[in-house]
Parts: sequence; structure tokens; C-alpha cells
Amino acid sequence: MTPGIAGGLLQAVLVVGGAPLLLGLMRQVRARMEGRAGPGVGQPWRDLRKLLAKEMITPRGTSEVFRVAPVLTVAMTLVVAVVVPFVTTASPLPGVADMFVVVALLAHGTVVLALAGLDTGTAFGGMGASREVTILALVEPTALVAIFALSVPAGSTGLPAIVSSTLAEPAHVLAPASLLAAVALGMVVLAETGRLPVDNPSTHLELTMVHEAMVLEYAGPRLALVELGAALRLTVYLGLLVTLFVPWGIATEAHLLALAVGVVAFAVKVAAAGALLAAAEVFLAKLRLFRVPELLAGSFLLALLAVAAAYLLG
Amino acid sequence: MTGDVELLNLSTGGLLLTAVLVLWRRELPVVVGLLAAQGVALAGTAAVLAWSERSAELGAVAAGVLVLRGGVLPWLLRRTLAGSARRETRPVLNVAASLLAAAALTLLAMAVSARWWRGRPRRGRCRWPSRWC
Repeated sequence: MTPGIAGGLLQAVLVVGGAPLLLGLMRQVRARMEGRAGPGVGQPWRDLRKLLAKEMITPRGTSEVFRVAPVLTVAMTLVVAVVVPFVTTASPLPGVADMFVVVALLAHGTVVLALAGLDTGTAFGGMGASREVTILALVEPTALVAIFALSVPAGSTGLPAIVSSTLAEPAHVLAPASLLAAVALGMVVLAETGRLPVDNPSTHLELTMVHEAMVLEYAGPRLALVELGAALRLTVYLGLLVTLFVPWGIATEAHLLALAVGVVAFAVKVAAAGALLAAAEVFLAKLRLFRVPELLAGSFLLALLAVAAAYLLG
Repeated sequence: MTGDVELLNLSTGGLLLTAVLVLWRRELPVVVGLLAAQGVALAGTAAVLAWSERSAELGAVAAGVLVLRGGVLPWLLRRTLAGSARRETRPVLNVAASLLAAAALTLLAMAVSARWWRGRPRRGRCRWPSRWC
């Protein structure tokens, strides 16, 4: 087995096993800060086990799109989890470890779920899908431009190349272009994973929900897959952020010790980022849907300035 | 020398960033805070130049800007704001459109200034004061 394949498998196992724990950790941090006891870090795993044991229910009038969407979302996110250099820079599919491919795969996951929301033919499904796609259309340009800014110093849009270049020259992280791109990508992560202030993951109020409205018709094992997919997306996006801007600890050679350090470093970094995000969310209120474009236009401008700074100052 | 250039990049970057953020936020107290931060960044630019040129006059200018733009002016604005009922700006153009306009104007300014630097007769190919090249 080549180091790339072994590293990819290791990352897949780590991300799938850790994603529900990350969600549990974030809910627990939030509960403690609000003065509640909280259900514990393992609760999302227990929920998934409960949902998987239930019978399969398919709403009347839905087509194959509704049935395959959860599987496709999880599969596309898993491909990203395998190829992105979370733990090791040795990638099993170097051609797919490109930032543009990764962003496209993650966007496809959202689009597939939006199609499933439309497929149910209910008011909520259509409303959620329309809102989700609106946000997606505003977020994608920001993500692409910010990635472009990051690829300028490395001279490549391949993630392993960007990570290796940052590891070789740590001063790049504090360059103005990198800081601006970090803020812009941070907002992309908030919008894409449906966190506050763009979407509230814990609400089921029809006026405010975005992601939850889209997947309202799912139940049983398919709901388990949708929930797992959402947790995976959160983990992958946070992992992408820490991999790009805090790459220390990622294994650059195929040592067992280096891989172990990589696993621990990844777990600690993502857990810290998640806890920070959960703590920040306690102080935030959800933005009105009509104010969301303002936030995302601001992040687009930051990404554009990052590109300008990368060319003028870099 | 390169350290000076990086500090200059950072302070001018801060100046540009605060100018953009003022367009972004509506709450007046936040805007006043950003104005103070912009004053600090402006003073930083002058201070880097003063340090690099070893010039006492530039140093005095930096200190003056820091006190006036970073301290006195925001304090006066905050005092005025405390008495008024208005909490938010009322932009003529909506925020998203003004941000996009700011992006286009910034890029235009950069393109124009790059052309100006290129067309200017000078020694060598240096963008900074002659001491830094």
C-alpha cells in the first residue's frame, strides 16, 4: 500500500469517526456557556445509531433523486476528506487535491440536497432549497477568489503544494493577503456549514430555517446520512481552514510517528476551531435573510483585496 | 529594509481594510471605532517612514496623527453620539452595491498607480524611497 492510499484511508476514518464528536463538542461547549448541563460529546453518535435502526420511510411522490441525495452528499464529502492533506501531504489522488475541485465537490453536495428538497414538492423543501442555493451562489465567488489569492505565493492551486509552501515559509501566513483570505474563507465556512449568523442549526422555525427546511422530509436511516453529511461538511470545512492557515503538524514524510503527530495535531486544531466557533455563536444572533448578501458581499470584497495584495505586495 | 517594507504593507493594508469595513457596518459606534483604528494605521504609516528615514519631523507628524485621528476625533464623535438618538447610518446606496463599487474603485486606483509608477523616469526599478532599494 502506498503512503498516499494509507494516508487517505486514515483521514477518511478519522473524519467520519470524529465528525459527530466535533458536533457533540460544539453543542456541549454552547450548552455549558449558556448554563445548561448538555447531553455530552457522544450524543450525535447515539442519535445516529437510533436513526439507523429505524425503518426506511419514503414520502409519496418522491423520485430517485430524494433517495440517492444523502448517499451522494456523504460520498462527495468523503472524497474531499480522503484527498485534502489534513494529516499527510501524500495524497492518493494528487489531481483531485486541487482547491477548485475540492470547492466544486463540496458545492455539489449542497446542490444535490437542494434537488432532493425540490423533489419532495412541499413548500418547506422548495423554500429551503431556494434559500440554500441563493447563499451558495453568493458564497462560491468568494471561495474561488480567496483560493486564488492563496495559490499566488505557492504558484499552484494544488493543496499539498500550498501546504508545503506555507510549511517551508511560515511568514506567508502573516502576509496581508493571507490574513484577508483567512477572514473571507472563514465567512465562507460559516455560510456553507449553516452556522450563525447565516443559518441557525438548532431552529425549526419556518421563518428562519434554511438547511433544516430543505431536509425536513427525511426520516430514519436517510436522515442519519443527511445528519452525518452535515457533520462531515462542518469537519471538512473547519479542517480545510486550519490546514490552510495553521498547517503545522501535517506529516510531510511517510513515517509512522509523523502520521501519529499529524492525527493528533489535526484533531486538536479542528476541536479548538470548533470550540471557538461554538463559543462565538453564543454571542451572535441570526441575521435576517435580506442582510446575508451584505455579509457575503463584504467577504467577497475582502477576497478581492487579498488577490490584489498578493499580486502587489507579494 | 525588508522588515520596513512589510510593516509599511501591513499599515497601508490596515488603512484600506478599515476604509472598507466602514462601508460594511451600519452601527455608528462601530464606525467610530473603525475610524480610530484607521487613525492608528495612518499614524503607523508615518511612523514607519519616520523610522526608515530617521526623521524627527515625520515622527512628530506620526505622533500628531495618532493623537488627533486615533484619540481626540473619535472621542469627540463618541461624545456627540451619546446625546443623539440615531444609532445606525442611513446609506444612500445599499451596502452590497457600495461594497462592490469600492472593490471596483480600489482595483482602478491600483491599476492607475501601477501605470504611473511604471511611466515615471527614475533610477532602477524601485517602488519605494531610494534608501530601501
